Amino acid sequence: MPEANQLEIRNLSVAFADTDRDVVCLDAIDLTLHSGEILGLVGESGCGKSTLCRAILRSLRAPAYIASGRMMWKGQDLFELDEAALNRVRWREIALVVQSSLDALNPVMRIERQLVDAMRVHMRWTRAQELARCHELLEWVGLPRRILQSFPFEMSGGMRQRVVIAMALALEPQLLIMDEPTTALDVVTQAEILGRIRELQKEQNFSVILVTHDLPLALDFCHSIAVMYAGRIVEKAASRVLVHNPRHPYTEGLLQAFPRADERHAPHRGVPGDPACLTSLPGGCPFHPRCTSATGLCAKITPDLIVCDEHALACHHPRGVVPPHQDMRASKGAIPIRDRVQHRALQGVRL
Amino acid sequence: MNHVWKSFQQSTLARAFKDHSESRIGLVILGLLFFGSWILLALVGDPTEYTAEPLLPPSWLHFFGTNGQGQDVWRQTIAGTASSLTLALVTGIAMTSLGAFIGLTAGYAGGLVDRLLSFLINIILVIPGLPLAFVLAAFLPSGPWTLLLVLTITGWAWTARVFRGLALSMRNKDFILAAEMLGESRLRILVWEILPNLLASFASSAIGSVIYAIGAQVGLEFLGLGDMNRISWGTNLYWASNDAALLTGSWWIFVPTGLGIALSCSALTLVSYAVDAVNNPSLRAETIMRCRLREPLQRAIGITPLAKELRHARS
Repeated sequence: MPEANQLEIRNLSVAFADTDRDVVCLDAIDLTLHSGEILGLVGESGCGKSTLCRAILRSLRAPAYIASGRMMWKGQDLFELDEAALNRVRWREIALVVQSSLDALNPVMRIERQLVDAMRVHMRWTRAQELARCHELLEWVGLPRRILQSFPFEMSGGMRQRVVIAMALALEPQLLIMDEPTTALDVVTQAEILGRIRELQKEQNFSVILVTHDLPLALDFCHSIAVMYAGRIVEKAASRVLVHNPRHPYTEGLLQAFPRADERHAPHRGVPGDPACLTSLPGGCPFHPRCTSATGLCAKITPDLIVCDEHALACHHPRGVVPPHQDMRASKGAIPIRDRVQHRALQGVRL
Repeated sequence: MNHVWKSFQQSTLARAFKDHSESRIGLVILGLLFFGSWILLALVGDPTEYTAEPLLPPSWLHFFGTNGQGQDVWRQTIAGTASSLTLALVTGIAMTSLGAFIGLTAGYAGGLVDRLLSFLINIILVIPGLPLAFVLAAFLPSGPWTLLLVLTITGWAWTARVFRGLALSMRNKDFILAAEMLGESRLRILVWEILPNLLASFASSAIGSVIYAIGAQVGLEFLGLGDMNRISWGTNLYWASNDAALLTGSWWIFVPTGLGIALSCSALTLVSYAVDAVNNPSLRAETIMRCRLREPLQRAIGITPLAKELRHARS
């Protein structure tokens, strides 16, 4: 399980340039990834999950630019590396499975050629070593050796997805970023591929960032979850904490949007309203127009991401049970009524 | 009218010209050359008139001097620009239209029609265009219509090949399939579903064709294969060479015409930047970024710039 800090993202902001004004789509992201940790990034479409993934490797296309922040990878700032040094880190140490990975394969090249491509660039291996590595990779992702001679169009979506994951694993990266790797696949293939990745992760102890909008999947697969909304991280906690004790109203809404097999009585709701538009964000907390517990404070002041007992949260009115020593308001003597009610809920009183 | 202007301003084309100042310059140069030459032609008087003694250098009386026959080069240049540019524009558009029509038909119809038309396209491509144009121009009666015909016949094949490819990729798109399922006629699909998507490609092809038409037309006339009684860029150069302008050092006879040719071709190339932007809207992002970077030329490809590498970045 997690040990040393491997990746530290500090105050990362990314903006997209336009002729008249810039649109900020990642706003002061703070995130820490330990070695061997599986982190899930969840949120609605357009909240900046993919942008964050590509920003880690500085591979965002124009007109994006990195407006501020540092990206500490094993003690060095990725944003201060020159092109050659950055290219050494890319793929060799941090590999990215891009979102539309089905289009990431070259349609006119055989799979073998595409698999050995990264090896040729980063390693000085003999032909035999390359081939041995290819066979090993295919075994890892559960594909037969003969597909080395196939073209991408001869394979099914699941097979192509596995090939892309095999490509990402080719150089034994220490961090694997997967941007919705299984969204286009059926649940059976999805479970198979993710199960395989978890096994490999246990064997090789690399860390993983998994982007998905499937919260139950993330809760099952990841050690910790970061929930994003409108280019910010609104909550981050260990999965087992988050699943029982979501504190941000948005996380709660996301959890309630999925049917859960273990809770018969759970009301099945979604998050009301539409996802925030980054070009016209409301003032204050960007989630407040859709929030059921928003107050005047929320429209005025943007809550900061505050970490308390490894549970990071950006909300003025957090939900859930708060142990008294954690609740800053508790020190002033009064527990708000809603929190008191939920204390009772924990004691088994059905509300 | 106001409404039409407003919707034009919001169109991709207008935005492309707004983003690309070089294309605006190109358009202005082209407009000045084209309309300016026709207007001036009406004002300056007969270009064939023998105005003074031959081979006079430029002076206030004769801006560009006089040629070997004592004709005013300024008038000749204006007349040449008007006729040559007009002919080139018409020829370029005719060439592209013919090519686009044949290419689209071949690509969309497929089957035997495609095979026959592709065969024809390939044959025309294999025959060297300019020599064929020489032969045809020598046989046909000389005149602007002959030039138009000859250049169109020899020059349409590249456009046709490009448009055949575009049509092939288009016909596999789902919206074409949807239109076919709805029972729309093939002609209607071709004109209303496929063609609007290819207008920008048509424009960029047309620009290339006009440039080709200028070059080929001047080349043919310079070799004496045009109508020598007509005044054009090509005949101007032909007479300059005939009068041994280079040997006598009378540079003013051929330099204005040469500049006219160079200027109009450059202007067309500048305009094509904006057309490219319409063709491929994702280029816009690159353009915006390039304008913002402090050192655009030192930029590594595929690495997101940092705020410190940009002018007025948001912090």
